[in-house]
Amino acid sequence: MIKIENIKKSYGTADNRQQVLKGIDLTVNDGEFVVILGASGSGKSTLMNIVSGLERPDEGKIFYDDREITALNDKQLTAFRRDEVGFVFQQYYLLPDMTVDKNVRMGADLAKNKDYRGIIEAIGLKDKLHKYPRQLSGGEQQRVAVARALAKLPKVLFMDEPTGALDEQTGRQLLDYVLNLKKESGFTLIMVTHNANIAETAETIVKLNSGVVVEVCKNKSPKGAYEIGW
Amino acid sequence: MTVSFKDALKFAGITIIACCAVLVCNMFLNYDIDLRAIDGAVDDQMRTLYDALLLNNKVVCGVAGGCLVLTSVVMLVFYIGQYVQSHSERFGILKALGYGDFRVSLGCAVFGICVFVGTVVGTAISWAIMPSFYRAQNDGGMLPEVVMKFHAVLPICLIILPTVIFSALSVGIAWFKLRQPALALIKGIRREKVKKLKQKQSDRPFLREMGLNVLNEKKLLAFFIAFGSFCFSAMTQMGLSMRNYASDMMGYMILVIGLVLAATSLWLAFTTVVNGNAKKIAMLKVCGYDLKESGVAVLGLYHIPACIGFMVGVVYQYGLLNIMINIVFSSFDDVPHYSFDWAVFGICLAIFVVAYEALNLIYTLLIAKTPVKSIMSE
Repeated sequence: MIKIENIKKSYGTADNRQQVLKGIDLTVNDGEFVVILGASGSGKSTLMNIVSGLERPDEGKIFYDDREITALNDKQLTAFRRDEVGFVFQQYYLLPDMTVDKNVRMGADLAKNKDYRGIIEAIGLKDKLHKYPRQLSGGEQQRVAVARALAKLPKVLFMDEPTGALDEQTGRQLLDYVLNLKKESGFTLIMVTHNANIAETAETIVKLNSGVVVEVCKNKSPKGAYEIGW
Repeated sequence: MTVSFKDALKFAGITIIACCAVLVCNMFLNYDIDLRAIDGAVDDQMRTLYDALLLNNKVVCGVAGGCLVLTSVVMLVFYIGQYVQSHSERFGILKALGYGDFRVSLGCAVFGICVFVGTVVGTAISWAIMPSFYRAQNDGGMLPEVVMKFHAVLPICLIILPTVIFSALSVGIAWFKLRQPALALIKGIRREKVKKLKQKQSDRPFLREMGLNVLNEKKLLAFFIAFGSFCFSAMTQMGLSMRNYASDMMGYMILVIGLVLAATSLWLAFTTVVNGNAKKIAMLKVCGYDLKESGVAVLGLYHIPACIGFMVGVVYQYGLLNIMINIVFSSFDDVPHYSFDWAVFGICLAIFVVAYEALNLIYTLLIAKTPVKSIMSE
């Protein structure tokens, strides 16, 4: 379980300080799919970065079960990211000079996961194993990023606008892959998006506005990737 | 102006190498011209020493000057390539607005300034130490006094000419690198040769593969690391081994030039490796690779060119001293026979290992400071 207590974060200098997060409290259960929904500038990506240990908050605490990650030093935080979480960003961030196989192996080697090619197969890229990112479409590149994140066998997968740079068909396809893999593996999924339609696939929707949680909705019947509007 | 004077400061490595090259060449060429002026006063007894000094001037200018000029050109080609790549958006916008390739690349002529500054400083330093150098060359008073004179041809050949040539070269290289569509420059798409990609499956661990990848991506950086190690090895050993054969001043001069060149080359190469791989380093950190793993992946394989450079330097300095002392000066009775100095080799090797590993550690710690958010802020 992830417990988020009174997270605050500001950016800028003393005379031009902007508070991005104004005291966020949230709980995410194991295996849950949570969507953080909000407009641009609402603080959703900052919240994801802090919860995943990429950034430190100014105030507040984050617990993964009983472990307070906000109290960890840099070395411990790196070990935490290695063992616990996976990331998928809007812009993929694949290593351009490495094949699909090696990009996915980047995550797999951390978890000593020898069966990582099964994940590449599961996301439909078996025949692209030795292709380079520049030889792939945007959707395929994002699927590689998903495979890289999942090859680490993370307990929690963080996705920041994963379909933001994709067209509707490719976006739905990616979402479908992720939802199926989540069903099989049971990892916790926290996704940041501004697309309210995508939020309908989640079990919990956290609406964020100007750094404040305005609503937490429980979705009793999450939809599939091909059942939602776009 | 497409390139500012501040940008030219980033080419400090070329300035330092130009400075060293001109320092050596100006001193020896000036001495050579002045030495030739006493040709008529040289009798048969002095002739052997006189000829040996003339030959020495040629060899030093040819080997030291030639090597340094060549290295400066290689460095210029590399850094202009880097500059165009890192500022491709700016150049792309200018091209999209209608500026021609030549007009845009003309701004790169400003890089000739770094050569101008280096050559002027090198000339000034050489003039400052030239009186001592002249005295040291004729320490035993075996030759008539060589009077130090100013020769206008040297500043023309060693300051004006290199500045003009390097400015033109900078424009030419930039023009060549900019010959691609404006949109490709704006989007930062690198012009790559269509090469057959290796489809073979390798089972190398990811970090090993990444290390090879980093090394292969910019082979010239491996050359600079090898060159820096070569300079350290060859010139420190030569400077220390020469104490029985030449003046202390010559030894110190070679030692200092070697250390400056080695430090400059290694510093520039390491900085470029770490800065050029910032995104990869950030992604390694995001995934959870620790500092040691990231450091080994990015910098680890550069130990190979460093070792090769050092060993080539050992052979080079031994070969050069052997030729100069045992062959060129063999006719002199009071010149002791030269043999490989193992003690100096041991000391230089130990210092090199400690210095290189310290540099490695400093840059590994710089990797630790690469912000993870840097890849997300684009």
